[in-house]
Amino acid sequence: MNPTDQASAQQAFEQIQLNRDGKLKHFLTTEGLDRDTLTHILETAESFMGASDQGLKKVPLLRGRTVANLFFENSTRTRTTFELAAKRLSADVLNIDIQRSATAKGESLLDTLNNLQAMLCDMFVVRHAESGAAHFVAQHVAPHVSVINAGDGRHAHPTQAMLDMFTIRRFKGDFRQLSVAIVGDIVHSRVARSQIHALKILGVPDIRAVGPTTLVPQELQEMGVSVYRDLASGLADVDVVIMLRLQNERMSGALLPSTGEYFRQYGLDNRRLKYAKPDAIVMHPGPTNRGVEIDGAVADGAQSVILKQVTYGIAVRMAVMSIAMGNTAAGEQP
Amino acid sequence: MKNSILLRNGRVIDPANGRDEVSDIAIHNDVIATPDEQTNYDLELDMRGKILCPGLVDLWARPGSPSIGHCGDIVSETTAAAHGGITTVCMPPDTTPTLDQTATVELIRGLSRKAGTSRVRAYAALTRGLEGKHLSELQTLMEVGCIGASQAEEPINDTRVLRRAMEYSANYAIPLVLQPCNDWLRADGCAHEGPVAQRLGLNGIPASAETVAIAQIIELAIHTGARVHFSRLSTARGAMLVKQAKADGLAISADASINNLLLADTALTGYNNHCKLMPPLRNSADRDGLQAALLDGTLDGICSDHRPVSADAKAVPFDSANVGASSFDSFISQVLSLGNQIGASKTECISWVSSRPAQALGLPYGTLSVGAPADVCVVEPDTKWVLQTDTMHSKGKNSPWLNTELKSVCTGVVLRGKWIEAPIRP
Repeated sequence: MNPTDQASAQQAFEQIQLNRDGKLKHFLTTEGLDRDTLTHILETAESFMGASDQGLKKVPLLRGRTVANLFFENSTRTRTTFELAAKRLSADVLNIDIQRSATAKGESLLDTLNNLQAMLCDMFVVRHAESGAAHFVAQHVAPHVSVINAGDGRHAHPTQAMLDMFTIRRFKGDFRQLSVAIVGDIVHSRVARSQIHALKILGVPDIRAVGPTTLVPQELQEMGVSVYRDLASGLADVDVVIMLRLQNERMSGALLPSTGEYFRQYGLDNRRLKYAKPDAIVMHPGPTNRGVEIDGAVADGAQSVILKQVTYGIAVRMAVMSIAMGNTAAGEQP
Repeated sequence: MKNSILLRNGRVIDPANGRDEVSDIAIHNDVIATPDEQTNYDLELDMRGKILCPGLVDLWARPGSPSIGHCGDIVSETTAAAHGGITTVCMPPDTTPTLDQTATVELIRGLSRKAGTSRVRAYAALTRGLEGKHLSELQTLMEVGCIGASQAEEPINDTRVLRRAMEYSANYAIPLVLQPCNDWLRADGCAHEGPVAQRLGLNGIPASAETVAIAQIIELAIHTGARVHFSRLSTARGAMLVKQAKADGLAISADASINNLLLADTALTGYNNHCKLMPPLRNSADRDGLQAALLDGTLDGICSDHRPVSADAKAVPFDSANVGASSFDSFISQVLSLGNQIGASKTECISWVSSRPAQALGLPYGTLSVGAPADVCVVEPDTKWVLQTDTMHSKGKNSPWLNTELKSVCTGVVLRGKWIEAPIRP
């Protein structure tokens, strides 16, 4: 392909997620998917919520399938919810501890993958510190294997974004009426990137990115968000406030002077939450840094839906895994 | 007559002498000679419909590298260079071991002679081990055949050392070939800082990493009188600074790589590892600015920035992938296709890869003047071919242009007086 032909490169990039019928086969990024695909994930997740409300913890959709959790980067929440989701779908789950595995001994990512494929895994759930790693894996797996991105570098974390969309839909209903503010370290956040794409696709007309230039560069506008530098105007009359985690290493990189100054400028406390609509919800992908980006009183307050996000995460991941596996099996058998 | 070749009836384009005419080129004993009807040449070739121009001079390329992740050797890579029309390859000193000793420079020269294809000339390491602390024995290295001194991709962060290095080089009129880059601003970036890297979640290298370094080096050039050639500019602002410095009468020259002149960072879409280069592909405004700088004479040349990478070193996620692309095999084809895109004449295009870069570094190549070294490049201007891994001569099978159609092709070179045919690839 001619490298100057960007439109077709972008198209090929987006289509790697889809099978021959245009259905989701790998879930690597929310970017470039259509509204129907995202809505289908949300509705499937609703059905799993319904089943679990009726006491049905397990469904047999992935019986006989093997899901390998490939976590090249540490994670508690995401890995646990993926594992629970796979088990509730009746799959066999393989947790590969990469820190102690062959990769640490110098084996290449590609060799690790080929070895796991030789063990007849059907799905890889991949978390990796490098942006594009999940795409790389999807490009190299056999046609019957499905890949779910559980976070790649600062590029994408699509299942987190979808559980956030699920939470918003449950509490706020119609996406096309909403104002959503994402506050904090957007430049380093794969969650924020995936949220922005998903919110746009689902029709949210007002998406705001709030933070200092070092964490929210002006060029983010090109992704279709409005950039705000102060919390008062950024939160004014929004329906949803999404706070992002601030990592300590941001201070050593001279991006910020201190966590104290950050909290004074951008930390969410009850006083500042009043800038938003009275019924606004507060979200956070976790883990939270209390007193850094969010005050404990807000995290535990009436408007916080942070723990709901975790609960919904299981249903949403069940939805994504069952949809992708179904489309992989239907689309192309080995 | 022994050791003689006559190339008949080609379109001779020789920018150094302002020639563009159908004519013959004669070669005798490794130098260009005056054609004459009485001589019986060893070899006579009919060159009707073909362009005969000086063999190309490539100011920055790696003809194989012994370091891990890169591949190719002097034989494979200089063969690829000859097939791309290049007869002189100027290589940076960041080999293993570094080119800071006369023995390593002589080794490279010996290997190049033995290979018998394109000539390889080396830049001396400006500082020992490229560590930016102690000067190499620069004049000694020049005496064994180095054509200038360079830090490759290891900028000198200590400006006092940089100042001394420039002063010392000025003393011996040693050209400094510097890739302007501020190490602090480059940091751990792997792509141009802008919306594309932002979307892909890649660490960016701001344009200011280049412009800050250029401004610093220009000021020190004024101070020290050093002769500086900026290697591989990537930004429009950088070209503007060079233009101003030239207007101020400084002894400064510059080039850009064919990749930065043809491509923009949008080519990274989909984490295209073939396009992971250093300096990175910038945005389209930068690319357009570089093209304009080529047309208005700010840039003195185009280099290939050939850097073969093993398949394994590219078969990893983008951030871990080795930097580099193989540009030798298709070099003249890409240069002419760039010329078509930006409305340049064939004479201009050829000057950017022969006479102009040779003049910038004071090299005796890049001209068809009688008595000059007999390096000639033969081009079929309207023959289409496709760059494919199995017909590439370079051992690095990575290029942004794989499987794309190219519209002209080099069909042979005369190198040190010897005819080397480059069969047309389908």
